[in-house]
Amino acid sequence: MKKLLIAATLLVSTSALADAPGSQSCGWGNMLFAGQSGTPSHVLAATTNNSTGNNTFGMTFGTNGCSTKGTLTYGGKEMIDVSMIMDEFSEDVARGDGEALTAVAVSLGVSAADRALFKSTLHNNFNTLFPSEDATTEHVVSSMFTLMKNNEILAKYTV
Amino acid sequence: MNFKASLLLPLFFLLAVKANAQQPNNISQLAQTEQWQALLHINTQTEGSDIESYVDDASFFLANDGATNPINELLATISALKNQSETQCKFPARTLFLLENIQGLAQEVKPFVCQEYLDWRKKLNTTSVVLVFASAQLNSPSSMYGHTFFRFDPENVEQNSTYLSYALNFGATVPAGDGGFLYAARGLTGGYPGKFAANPYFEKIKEYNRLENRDLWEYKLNLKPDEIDAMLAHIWELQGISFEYYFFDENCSFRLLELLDVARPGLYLANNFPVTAMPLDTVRVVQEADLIADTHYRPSILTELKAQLAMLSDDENALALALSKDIELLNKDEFISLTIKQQQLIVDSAYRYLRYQNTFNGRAKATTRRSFLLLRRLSENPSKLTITIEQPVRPDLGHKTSMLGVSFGQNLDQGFVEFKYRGSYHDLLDPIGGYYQGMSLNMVNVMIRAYQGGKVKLEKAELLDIVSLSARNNYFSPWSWKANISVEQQWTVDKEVLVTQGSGGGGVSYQVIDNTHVFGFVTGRLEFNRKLNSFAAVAPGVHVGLLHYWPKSTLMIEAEHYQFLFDQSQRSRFSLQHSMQLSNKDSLRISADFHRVEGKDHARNSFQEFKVEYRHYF
Repeated sequence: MKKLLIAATLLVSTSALADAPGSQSCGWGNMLFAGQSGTPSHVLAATTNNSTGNNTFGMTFGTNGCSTKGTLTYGGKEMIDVSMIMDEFSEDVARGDGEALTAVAVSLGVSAADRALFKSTLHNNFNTLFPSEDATTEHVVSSMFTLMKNNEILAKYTV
Repeated sequence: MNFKASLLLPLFFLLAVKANAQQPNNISQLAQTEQWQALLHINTQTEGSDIESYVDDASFFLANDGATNPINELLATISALKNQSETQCKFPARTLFLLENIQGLAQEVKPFVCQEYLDWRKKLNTTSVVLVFASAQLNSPSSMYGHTFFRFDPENVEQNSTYLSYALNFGATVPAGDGGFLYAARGLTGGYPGKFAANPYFEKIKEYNRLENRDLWEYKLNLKPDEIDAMLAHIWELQGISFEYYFFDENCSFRLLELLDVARPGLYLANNFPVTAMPLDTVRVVQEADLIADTHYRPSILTELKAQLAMLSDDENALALALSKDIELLNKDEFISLTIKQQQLIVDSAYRYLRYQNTFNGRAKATTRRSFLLLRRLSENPSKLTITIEQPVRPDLGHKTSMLGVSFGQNLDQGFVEFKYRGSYHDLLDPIGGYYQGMSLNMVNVMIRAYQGGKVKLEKAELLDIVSLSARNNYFSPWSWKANISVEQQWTVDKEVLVTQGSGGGGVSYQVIDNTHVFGFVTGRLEFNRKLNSFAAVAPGVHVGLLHYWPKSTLMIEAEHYQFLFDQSQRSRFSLQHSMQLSNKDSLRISADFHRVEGKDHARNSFQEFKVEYRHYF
């Protein structure tokens, strides 16, 4: 009953994602384990199947309000907005494999042949990427780029 | 197209041959083809003045009366294509269709490079289309009807990641700030405009698999490249276009069927749903049209967590729960003395549980710390841990949701025949394959009885009947609940009276052993009964029961008691029901009900009812 009665969070969480650049929920400032607040309303989801996210068709990764195009770039390199999948990504790095980790590799253009190396490199450096629970997405992404740059084979995917 | 031009342009020649083969005699015939009507979102079953597009947006039409006049819209589109060649960019699907079907038109339309559209198509790089069904959410029968949307996959998606695929969803667009039950009511009645929206698939996974804990079923369709081309071209036309949105019929699933009708003309999928389009039933229609090539099950994080907890022994279970609350356990003997494999499983379970538990609460500092330390520990694990999750019966292969029943029985020593019709959907004893245990949602359930001697009575007309049993254990503590609104026969004073009632309850449910649920509710009933002293009677009550599922058969034993507040009368019921699945379409049910009514106004009454029922699902 409780679950049914509580209202509207898909909405709330979506609009939170649309915060202005620089705010806590936008892009790189996101804390590693910040999580979502609120609870979704199942009634609402069920009667409207509310179209969360952008209503345009030019699908952009992580339309989180950080830029008008919604695409995140790091050092000029376009990639998936890791902050949006930080839970999944950190878990995949810990395990050494998974869909979120693959998605990051693909969005960086890492070829199928180099993916195992990419994954093991990140997995073996879990503590560098995620030094504490307060690690920001910016730290995670910049450490990831450093690790890649220091690797002969992966370096080419950072530019 | 003249002969010379055909020689010069072999491509156009081919087109012309193809066009000639199916060339309708005139424009009005072309405007009546299912392709054109599908492109305009006109129900092909309507005619004459009833014709009206589902699109509720003037910018979608080029003719003033385009929404109601497909011929004028076709003429206006032809003229726009001839005079403003950029029309091709706004209506690529219409352009494809008209160039293919109108002789000579290709020469009159100047080629135009639609860069934005081409970029979009290149970015999607779609080679396959997947219909995704978000199944019911436990404890939320309002979601039982499910939800559907499309996913567009590029080549080699299996080696890459469907995370990055393009998901297309049709839903109501709700202004920020709207909330509460008004919002739900408006969703039901068409108060919000519906639009298509695109997201990366990972956002959908997050929304359904993680935030709502709903299992996703991914049905890969066997659409061919030219069919995908037509579909995407049409989707482009719908960018920013508003439809009316109604929960029951003009919903997410209905719109997707229309897109399939555009992709493969002649399917007439949308025509299957004149009244309501339940997402689950639309999946079935797609399956029956032989559109499904492959199925993939994506369990929710709750399903994964439960599967993993089921791998643990009782001791390990207790340890994982304790670890999720106290990280220091990692250094205690009781943990260290375990094998590495056991340790790994326990750490993993504790991590998953914390993550599940803290999806919504903003994550307190201490919890965050524990999650992080568990994750770090997980990263040190030497071996890979796999959870085996058995794929349940596909929801589209479960029994269908409408039902006709006929039963023979005896009530108060009188024999009767009962006929039953149920609009939707599934009750606790219907065949379980493809459905979840402990969830029941029925809407529009009518029973008519003919007694020996010829007396015919409306036995019951249920508007709504919901039961949601969610098992509690050490890890999870959900509430169970039920609600019912009906007009029904009720033994009052000394005869049956047709009463109107609303009742509901909240309680708990436990799964004592696999497939066995026990439950208890505290209930309340409001009854309008003209034979009672007070017109509206209020009764608190209790309801307890046991439910057991075998693969093809279900047993329920329950007892219910109501104490009426004003006249101090009481009602009790004890009932046994057993159902057996005969096939995917039929089931048989036997039941015995023992009733007892006592009160000041009438003598004590006890009576029984026995029934054998045959149910057909369609």
